[in-house]
Amino acid sequence: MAAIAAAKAGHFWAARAAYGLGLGAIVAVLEFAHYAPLVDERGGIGLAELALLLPDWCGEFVLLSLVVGYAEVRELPREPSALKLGLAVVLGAFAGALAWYAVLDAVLRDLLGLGLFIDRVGQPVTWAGRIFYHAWMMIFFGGLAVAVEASLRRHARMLAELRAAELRRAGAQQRLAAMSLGALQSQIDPELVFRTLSRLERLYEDDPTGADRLLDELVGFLRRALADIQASGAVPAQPT
Amino acid sequence: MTPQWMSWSSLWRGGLLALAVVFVLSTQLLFQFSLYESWPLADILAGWLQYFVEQLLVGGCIFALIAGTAFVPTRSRVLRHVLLLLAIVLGALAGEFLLILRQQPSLDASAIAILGARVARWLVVAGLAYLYFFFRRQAAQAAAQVHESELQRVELDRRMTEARLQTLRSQIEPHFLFNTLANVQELYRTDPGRGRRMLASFVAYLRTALPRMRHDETTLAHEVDLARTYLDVLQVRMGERLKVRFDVPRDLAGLAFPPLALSTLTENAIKHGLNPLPEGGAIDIQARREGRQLKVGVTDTGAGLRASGGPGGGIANLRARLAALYGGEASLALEANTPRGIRATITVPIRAGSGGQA
Repeated sequence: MAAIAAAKAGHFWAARAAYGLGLGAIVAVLEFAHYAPLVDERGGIGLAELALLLPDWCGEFVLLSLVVGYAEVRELPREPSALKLGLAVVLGAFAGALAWYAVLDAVLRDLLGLGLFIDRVGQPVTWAGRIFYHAWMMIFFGGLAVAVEASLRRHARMLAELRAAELRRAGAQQRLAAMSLGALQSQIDPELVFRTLSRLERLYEDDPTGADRLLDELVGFLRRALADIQASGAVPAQPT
Repeated sequence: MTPQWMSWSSLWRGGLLALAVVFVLSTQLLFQFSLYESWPLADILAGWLQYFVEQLLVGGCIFALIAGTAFVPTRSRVLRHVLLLLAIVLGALAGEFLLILRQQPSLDASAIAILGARVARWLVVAGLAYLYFFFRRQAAQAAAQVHESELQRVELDRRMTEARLQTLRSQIEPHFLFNTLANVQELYRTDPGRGRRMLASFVAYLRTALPRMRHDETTLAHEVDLARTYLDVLQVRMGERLKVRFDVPRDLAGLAFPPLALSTLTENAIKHGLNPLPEGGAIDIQARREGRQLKVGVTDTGAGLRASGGPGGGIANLRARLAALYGGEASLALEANTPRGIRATITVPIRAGSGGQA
């Protein structure tokens, strides 16, 4: 059991990371498309720069996605509120931007001497400027994606609830139908009995043998009807 | 010719969402720190306002086209998504094209590349915003259906309770009917006079019982009549073994009383109380008012609780009926009578009978 739960948890975090990776790649491509025409005159940027941009944004979005995932797991089995999700997005965006910038600065620039994308573009950007710009991008695109995800989950939950409600309704309908059938079977039409008895009263004056036969029939009918009722179980048998 | 899946409220919500997205999108300008180093704050704010208006123009184009797709009559989901994609791309293209044309009259390669980048960005933004809106609306529709389904279920449950009540009520009839008729039949063969009297009493009983059988409430007077005609039928059968006494004040006659409740108790008193005893006994029916309550008791001098093996199905059904009609306000008490037999008392809240005499 624990292994399954762990595997499920591992699956969850892997999916979260992949989600961040995909979102980061989309934003990286958008950013690349945004910068490409601007720096065109200075010699242009190519696939090498796109390759630099990808880890830049992907890393940040993976961190953001993991923070949002933590906010969701913390609230399980309930859904986190919109406020908490928003808070997670803002926190995750700033923390992700800061942490990933530190990693890039230490690994890419200092250790590998590669230089960051912003160095290639040639704009002098302070680290605070970079953090805020990246945080905004993550809050905007990450926030939109989280909103879409939350509405998708809500939709799925509502559909499940609808199925359950329909099942309950169908059950109630079925029970009612069974009940009505039982009630129908157990109802010996009092009007019919009343009319037959009135006729019987008159008939005994004129034709006692005929009346006797009629009464025989009526008692036979009632006996069968009673047996039916008790067999159907709609009415518990009464001692007579 | 508004398509059914697009209502004014969803248009209004969609517009509000588009406005919010455009507004948040425009704040990107404020997050560019390099601006604060080279421009005064007032200029930045003015630039932000202009940027917001520009984005609003593009967002508006996209929104108008998306709303327009609602008027394309198609049931195909694929076509609907293609239309949506087209609406976003064309809307963004139109809006951004206008913006670029304002800045530079001729389009060069770089301007086209900028246009492409912006359209791609709008595609992601508007696509995500639309997905969010779409699933939210679907979820709201599903929630409304859940509500509707629950309402129907509650209604079905109510009808179920009603049907159960009907069945409980009709339970008294067939057995009594059968036993009496079997008796009538036998009597006609041995003692036609008594048989005739019994049949006449029984028809009188049905005449009293029938019009009221299916109603929820009747008057005490009517119920007492019913019990009296019922006991008349049995009197023919039991003769000296049955003595009956009624003590029902006239001023209580018009009060409301649950149907066939008194009959059930009377029937029980005969069946479990007097019938098993060779010497028979007496049945005493009395009604009295106590404060805001009406108490009607049926006392017999029969075999008693112990001999009858506790209350039967008829008593349980009567309790269920009382609970269904009055909730906790009514009760049925069974106690031992001295020196012998059972005293059953029904207590109901006092209300004027609605139907009067039948």
